[in-house]
Amino acid sequence: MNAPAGDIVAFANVSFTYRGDWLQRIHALKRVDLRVPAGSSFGYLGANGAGKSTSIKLTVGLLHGHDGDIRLFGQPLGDHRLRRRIGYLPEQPYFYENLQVGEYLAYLGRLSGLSTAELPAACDRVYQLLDLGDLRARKLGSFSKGMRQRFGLAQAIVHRPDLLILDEPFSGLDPLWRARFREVLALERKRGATLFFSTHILSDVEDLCDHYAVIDHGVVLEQGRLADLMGQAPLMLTGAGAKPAGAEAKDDGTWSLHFPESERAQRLAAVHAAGGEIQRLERQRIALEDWFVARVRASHTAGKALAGSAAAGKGGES
Amino acid sequence: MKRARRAAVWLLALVCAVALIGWNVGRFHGAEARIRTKNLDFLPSPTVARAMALGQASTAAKLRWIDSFAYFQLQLDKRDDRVSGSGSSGGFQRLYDMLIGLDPLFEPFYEHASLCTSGVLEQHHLALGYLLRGTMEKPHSTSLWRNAAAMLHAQFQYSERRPDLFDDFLKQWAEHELDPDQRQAVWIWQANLARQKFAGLAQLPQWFERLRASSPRTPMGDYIEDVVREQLARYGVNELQALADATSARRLAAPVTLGEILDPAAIQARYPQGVPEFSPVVPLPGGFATLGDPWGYPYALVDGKVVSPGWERVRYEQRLAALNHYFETRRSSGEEIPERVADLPGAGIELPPPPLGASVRLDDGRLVAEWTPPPQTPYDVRMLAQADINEQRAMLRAGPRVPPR
Amino acid sequence: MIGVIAWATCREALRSKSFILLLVIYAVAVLLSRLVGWVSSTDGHIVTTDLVFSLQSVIGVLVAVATGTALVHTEIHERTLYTVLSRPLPRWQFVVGKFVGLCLALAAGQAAMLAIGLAYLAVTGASVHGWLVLAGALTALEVLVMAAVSLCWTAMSSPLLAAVLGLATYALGHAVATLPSLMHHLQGWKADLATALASLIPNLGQFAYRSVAVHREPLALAGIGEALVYGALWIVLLVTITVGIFRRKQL
Repeated sequence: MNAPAGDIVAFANVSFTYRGDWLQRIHALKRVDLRVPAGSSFGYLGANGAGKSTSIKLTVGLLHGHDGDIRLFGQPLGDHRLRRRIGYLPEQPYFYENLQVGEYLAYLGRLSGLSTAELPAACDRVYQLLDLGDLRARKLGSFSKGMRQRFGLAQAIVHRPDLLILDEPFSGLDPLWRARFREVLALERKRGATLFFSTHILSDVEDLCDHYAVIDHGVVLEQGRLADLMGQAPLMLTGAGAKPAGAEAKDDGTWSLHFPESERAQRLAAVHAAGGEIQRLERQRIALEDWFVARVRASHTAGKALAGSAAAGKGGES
Repeated sequence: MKRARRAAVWLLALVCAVALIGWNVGRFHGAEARIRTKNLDFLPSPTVARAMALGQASTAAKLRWIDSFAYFQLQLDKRDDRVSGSGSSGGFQRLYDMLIGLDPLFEPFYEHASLCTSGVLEQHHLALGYLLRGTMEKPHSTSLWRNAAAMLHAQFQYSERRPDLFDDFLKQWAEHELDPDQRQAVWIWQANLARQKFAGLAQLPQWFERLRASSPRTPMGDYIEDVVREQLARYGVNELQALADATSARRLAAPVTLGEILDPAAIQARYPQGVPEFSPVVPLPGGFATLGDPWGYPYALVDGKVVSPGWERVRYEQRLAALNHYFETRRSSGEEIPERVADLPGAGIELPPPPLGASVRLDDGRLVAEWTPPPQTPYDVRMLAQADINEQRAMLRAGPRVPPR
Repeated sequence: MIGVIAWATCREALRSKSFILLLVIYAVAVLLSRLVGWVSSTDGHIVTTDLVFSLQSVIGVLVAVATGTALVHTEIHERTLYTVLSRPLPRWQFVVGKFVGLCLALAAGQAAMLAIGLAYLAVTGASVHGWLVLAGALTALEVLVMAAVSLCWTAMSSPLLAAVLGLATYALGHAVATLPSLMHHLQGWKADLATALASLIPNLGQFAYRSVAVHREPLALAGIGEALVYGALWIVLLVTITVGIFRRKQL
């Protein structure tokens, strides 16, 4: 199956509220706009309870009754046949304990629309990818958390979906299997699948994603290309001779100067003009984790300030 | 080390298991057989009982019935048929109405209802009602028809008072029999009945019917066996007493031993047609002998009166049971019961003197009689009930006997 | 799709330890039932047969209520249905498939119980005849109706409450079978109200032919036909209600 051009998943002004205890209503998503481009590897970042899983459950049809528009492969949600093209790995997946790996995979493959003729080859492919061949007669009740995760990925890709939705795919995996998962996901992408996964392990995003979105308290704070985000990192110029203003002197007689991309030409010209020698110009690496924390905190601070000013406004009116 | 610890854990479990199983087995070992008696505590109407049985009406009926055997045992002593709490009478009637309401197709309910109301309470009209109701619910049941016919004959003397109606009844029975052989058997049954007209044993055929329908070693079965033995003993005592009285009149002196009453001329005078099948007197080559009583004790002559020691024993046990029941009532109202038999008169309790060869003791607040074991084998009344008349005669006469002394 | 889900559900249920354990408990209870037969003073075989068939009904209903109430809830609680319902499958097919699978497993369990019970009765010398098989089959139908009742309750409430409501429905379902004979105690609007309430509850007395069959009495074939139609209608109604509720459920 080939992925279509455009956005595979598109949320437009989507809100979702569910009932908590008694009459309490919880706003899980607030006017969310989200676009997962075709062929991309999309990292959906957010703290626990931010709204990641709610977005995913709405996409795969486990939740319904949202406001706004959600489109899947360019079509509105509602037609269950669209899910033929989705592979979904839930967070911490559980399976029937008394079915064997082979039986369960065949069962889920059949539900995904694979014919009995297609099943053996499809199952063999994922057995190979995830080393499950020797375990096909084992009951899932005897599986460890990591093994369950492996089976979870197997059932998600068995029918070669166009869109792979993975909720915290790396949880419970040891380093070896984390690396193997990355390889499998890279192969799936190469096949043409779009990856949409939620995580709060940011190194995974750096390694796998080309697009990202950050969600907090049901609001998408930011989304875009990861390359653009990385492009916002400051530059560091190392030079010798005349030291420009703001540069830090080093013991070996050189100096270094940090400035944003937008000041590049102006700064270089200034060094030349002062007779300085440019030794090296490099882009500093963004620590995604620090950036994420700073971004979410900034959102909280802004929210509090807004609330404070609204309260002050109200107080002034009274 | 780990292996030793594991072995220790298993050993501990094994020791506990052995100890607990031994404890449980100990409860059964050497436990005295005690007859369970209790009152009826919950008797809803048949409709309510059916609603409460949660779809398992027939099973609930059987379990309630088995539980109610204890009330039957209690009534053997009390015979007032009063239910505790309300104190209202008619416990058996309410019980069996409920049970039949829950499972109207179970024959034993009708048979036992008739046994309890007729045999224990002597309310024969109720018993006949249950049997006739049974023939309506189970119209092809030979046993219910035969029991009803036996009751009409034994308790209501229908065969003599209203032979036309009795014949009609037997015709109806024959019409309901599905098997031609069974149909024929109705008339054979009637012919047998006509032959079994022994004085004092009029009810014996009916009790034989009941005995055939009951299982051995069950409260009902034991009770019916005892009733049959009592009837045979009463008949035996009456017959021997008649011979003793005849001897006494002839000699103008009371006989001292049973051997003295077995005078061939007197026996010939009493039984001109030959000695009846259930008579305790049996002919021997060159004379006569007496059988033992139905419990295996030899009949005895005490001060000119014929006594069946086995029957005396049964009657004494019944009196002790009534006293024990009285003790329990007193205990439940907080009164103390003496610990020794000798202290009973002081507490205002009169203990009847035990029959010859018996002693009474108080065991855990209950009166228990100890008996010398019977020298002969008691009658196998179950085999007697199964046999035809000729076989019955042969069985009794082949049994142990007491030669004249 | 319904067949695929049903087959997986049936296999999962048949292999579950609780299912096998209840069968073992049934077998042990059947063995012990002869004791009660012995204790009864007469006709011990009828008493044993009665108990064997009651055990099939009671244990069957317990299994139906336990598995019926756990069926959907466990899927939600354990999140096993996430990987199923995220596939191209309408929810009604999931519910129907699960119920059909449960019915297959329960029917297999009932068949096993019936076979064990009849074999035991035959070995102990009790009378075994075709009416008993028919009565056992009707008990199985009662168990399937109870499975549908439990499924419906669990779609509306928590599993514990659903189990309690399921057992209450079982009790009421048998109580209403005898209600018409109690109606003469009520008059006017009370009688109308009682009739209306009782009409909302499945009359499980419709399937109770056990007490007739144990006495070797023939069963009325017209009544059996009615029972089949009655049971099928209740199952369709209850599964439809469950589908309606489950379609709106947030997972």
